[in-house]
Amino acid sequence: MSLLPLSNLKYKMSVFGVKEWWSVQCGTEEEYDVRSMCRMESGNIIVGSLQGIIRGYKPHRGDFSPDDLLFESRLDSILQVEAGLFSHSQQETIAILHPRSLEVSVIANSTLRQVYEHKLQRNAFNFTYGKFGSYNREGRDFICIQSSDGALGFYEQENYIFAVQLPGFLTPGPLLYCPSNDSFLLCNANMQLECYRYARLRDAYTSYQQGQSATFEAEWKIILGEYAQEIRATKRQGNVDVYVLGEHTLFGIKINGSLKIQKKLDYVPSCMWAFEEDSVLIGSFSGHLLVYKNTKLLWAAKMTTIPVAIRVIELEMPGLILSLEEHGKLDVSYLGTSPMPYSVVPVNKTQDYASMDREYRNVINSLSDSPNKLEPSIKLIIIPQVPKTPERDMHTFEGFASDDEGTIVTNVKIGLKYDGDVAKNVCVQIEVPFNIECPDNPIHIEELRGTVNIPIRFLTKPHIPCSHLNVNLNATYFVNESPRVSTVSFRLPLLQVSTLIKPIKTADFKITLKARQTLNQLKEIFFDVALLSPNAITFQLFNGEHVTAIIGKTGERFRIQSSHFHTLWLMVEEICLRVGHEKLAFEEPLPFQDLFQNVDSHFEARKQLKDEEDNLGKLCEQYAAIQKRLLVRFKDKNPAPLNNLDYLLHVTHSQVMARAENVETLQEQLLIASQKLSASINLALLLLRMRFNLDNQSFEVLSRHLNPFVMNGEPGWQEATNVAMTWLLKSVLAKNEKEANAQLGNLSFPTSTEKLKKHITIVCDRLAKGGRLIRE
Amino acid sequence: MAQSLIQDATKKLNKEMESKYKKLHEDALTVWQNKEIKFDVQVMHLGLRKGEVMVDAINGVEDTKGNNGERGYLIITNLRLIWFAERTPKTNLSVGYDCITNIEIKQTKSKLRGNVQALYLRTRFRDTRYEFIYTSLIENSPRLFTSFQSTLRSYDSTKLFRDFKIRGAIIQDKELILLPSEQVYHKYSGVWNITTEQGNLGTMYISNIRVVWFANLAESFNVSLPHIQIKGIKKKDSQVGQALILEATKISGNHILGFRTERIDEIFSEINRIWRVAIEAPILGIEIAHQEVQAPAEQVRQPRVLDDIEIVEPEYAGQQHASAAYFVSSASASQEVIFSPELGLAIEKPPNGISFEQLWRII
Repeated sequence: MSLLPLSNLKYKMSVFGVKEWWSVQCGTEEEYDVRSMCRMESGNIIVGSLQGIIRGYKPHRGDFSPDDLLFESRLDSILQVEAGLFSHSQQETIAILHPRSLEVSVIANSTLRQVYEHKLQRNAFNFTYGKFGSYNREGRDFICIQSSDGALGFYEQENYIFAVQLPGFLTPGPLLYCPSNDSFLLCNANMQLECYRYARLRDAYTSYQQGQSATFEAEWKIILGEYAQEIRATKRQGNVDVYVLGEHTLFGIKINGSLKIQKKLDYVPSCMWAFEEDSVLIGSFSGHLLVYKNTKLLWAAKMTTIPVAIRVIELEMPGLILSLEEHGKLDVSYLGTSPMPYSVVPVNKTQDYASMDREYRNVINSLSDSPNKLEPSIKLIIIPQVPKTPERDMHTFEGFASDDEGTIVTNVKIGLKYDGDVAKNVCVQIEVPFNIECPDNPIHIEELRGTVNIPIRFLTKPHIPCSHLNVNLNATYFVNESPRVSTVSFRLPLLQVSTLIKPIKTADFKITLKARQTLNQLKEIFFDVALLSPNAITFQLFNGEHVTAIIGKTGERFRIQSSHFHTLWLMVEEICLRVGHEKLAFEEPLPFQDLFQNVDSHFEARKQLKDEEDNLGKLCEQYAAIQKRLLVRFKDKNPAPLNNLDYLLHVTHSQVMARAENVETLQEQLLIASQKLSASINLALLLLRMRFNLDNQSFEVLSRHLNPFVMNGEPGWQEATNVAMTWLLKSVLAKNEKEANAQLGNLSFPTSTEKLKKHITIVCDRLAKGGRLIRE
Repeated sequence: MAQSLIQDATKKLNKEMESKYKKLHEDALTVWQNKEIKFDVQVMHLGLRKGEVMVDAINGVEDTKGNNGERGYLIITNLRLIWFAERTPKTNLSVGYDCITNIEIKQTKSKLRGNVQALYLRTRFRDTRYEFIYTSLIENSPRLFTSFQSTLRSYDSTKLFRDFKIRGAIIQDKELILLPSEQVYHKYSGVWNITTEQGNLGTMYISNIRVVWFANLAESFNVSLPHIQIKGIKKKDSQVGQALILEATKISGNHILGFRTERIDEIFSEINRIWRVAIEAPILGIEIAHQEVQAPAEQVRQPRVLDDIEIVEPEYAGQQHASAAYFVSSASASQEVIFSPELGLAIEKPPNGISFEQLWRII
């Protein structure tokens, strides 16, 4: 794959133009589109307008003569015309797509004679043709029509074969049949290129007929990130099999779905055609014609029109360019090699030296004033002053953690300092963990000069488990109209989320951290806390979970134990911060079982929520259906008896309400589960770091893949992490070529977490065997 | 004034052409006005031919491309666009609508003139492309070129009034689709077209605008020949008996149509009569609805003609020179076109044996 820089404005400077070989204006006040033109084997050109007039031309070199028109016929709106062997005879036929029918005709005696017609059930969008299926040995062309609601209908000559509905469909896009692997390529609203095998579509239909579920998936997908305008296949074997023209990019793709070429276009393309092996012709809205070979610009020429469709054709000689303009200007042209004179029109004749000099100075001044310079040395500085212990606030905040003395509040003083002239529109966003609330968020200051101290408060939501205690402050502000950013982060004291209690000796989850050197005494480590026992310390969280740290008598190890696996994390982190994680080692086997339990319960919570949302969706549909029926009844002048429909509506309504409440509860549960998972992942990462002595950089890489920030959106954590793990195994941790070529999983909702667990285990195994996360 | 100048030229032209019309001279039969671009023609030829009418006349228009800084008049007729300089009408242009490939009307802001309109014409005539730009020198005038746009649109949609067409979609359900204001004088069935060897039985229509014939078996096998595209009508003996021969003009590709019918004399004389009427008063397709405005006294008064003598220059003298200013590119059929295997496309043979790569690298 090659990514080329965005540059090369050479095409604009081209002094060459295209020259006319033959030209005609097809009708007046008619419109044409990318699919309005085709070429027959005989060299005839067929054009069909959206207004429904179809014409055949036989071009030759020279001026248009009345003889060049082969036929002209008035039909229904024409969406697409293609030439091929669509009938049983050897004669070349023309397939004409109308919104609700497909017509196949032959040209005989300068007349278009219909051979057969298919009436369509759905509004058609476009079609493709080819010799589908392995059994098609006669060389006949079959037709596949894409409807505007996402169904593919298949036709073999006069016979309708079957139709399938595309999954996840929103709007139609270009469609192409690819004979080399008997599949259909299409781009849709997902901004993806998808490949569907014909055999798979057929099988899906057969199983549907037999009453089985008829799901099918794309053979492969590639994310383009743009809406595609056209897909074209190269006829001969080349570096690339399929070219896709996006809005600003040209993609070259192999038939196995791998991206070969991606070229950013610095103009707006209007149409494209692939020819020879690796050559592409692109028409642009700037009126240029560009010839590429393997992303290299070979030639550019100015056109006289802006084409909507373009082809390379052979008439009396090969390599002629056929182009169709929106309003029906049909041109056959070739590239000119004599330069075209520039048509420079004097705009203003009274340009004198003084005014030019003034303008030049203006430009220079505006350039030097531009904000496109290095960051200024004077920045807004944020200084947070975090107390060691939280305070008690006598004001009771409803729903937040409190004890007898009041609500537990950490009062942080934020110092904002700006040494420059003035910082305008300063806005500080405070980013807190899910279990912490900051009632003062955000802070807004119109103009800042010098230093300002602002107190902010942090409160704890007692029922949500704690995943971490880090707070980020992001300040945005304006200096001389240009936006600037400053950030800082700090950690809240552990006592904000917990209270100190008498040490609890028994617990279900235990881990031991060995000290590489003798540790200080516990009271020195927790110098700011009033210890209740010399060798042990226990924190109890506001949801009842507790965690204890016991230091060995000789100070050579720590034992950390807790009522819950994820709660271990808070203490381990606290100790690592106080002692330094380099001084500690973890030599026990990694607690995969406990970690995976949290992964599973989070997954279970996701599943439950999803099911409940589906149920709610169905109920809402039912509600709407009943409503509709009731409305129909009431619209009648003499309404039929209600037949208890009102009662049904009432019952459904209460069911909807109950389900909605259920969904809310489940959302809350999912949040709790994700907090637990997040804490467990944090713990696992820290243990892995101590276990395998990962340096900062490797740790960074690992935590980017095994992400401790569990967000509950789409795609979910399990599938995203699974893909990330697969990627690690495919890239830096790959053992051989085969693994490096492994397929990445997809990001759809998984059926189970088995694969994910397996992959996490393998990654840890590889790390244990000395695998490195950073390539030398 | 522009109108009176055109009127004078028209009178002169009619006087000159009178004898030619009588003799059915080819000059009289050809409508070149819409097909050609002419530079600096004799003022007489700025006169309107028969059937040509003036749609609009705009004063204070600059020919920005060729005569920068020169004030002039822009005359819009149903066939062409005429521009001539205020100072001397000898500096002039005549652009036939058939040569226009693209027009654009831009609102531009000029420091000198304020908000003005500019008309861009891209044209093509005999393998050569020309570009014309007309700028209105009158500030904040809303109308100006819009009448030109609507004229051109109606010109484009009335091609069948003027152009020879074969195999068109002009017949529906065995009946001729009539053009606006078209009147069918006669419909003759049983007319054989003898252009092909076996002949085709068909139906002929004769209307005030054209002669139409179509095959009974295939209605898309048809011809539509406007009277103004007929060069000659003859009766001729052929192997299958006496045939009616209609000759089309050079512009229509010198086509010769042969028909055989029992009622040949009747048809021959009918077409002949209508044809002669059409030559004198051709219907060219664009109808102009005039709004009657009381002309001010100055316009009604005849202007004094100062000098009625015109020095006639040989026609080619200024022509080469004048056209150069508007030249964009040319593509003549004599140019050698080769297939470039490197590009995979057809390309004009580069000069002096340079390879296309060298040529591309020049930029």
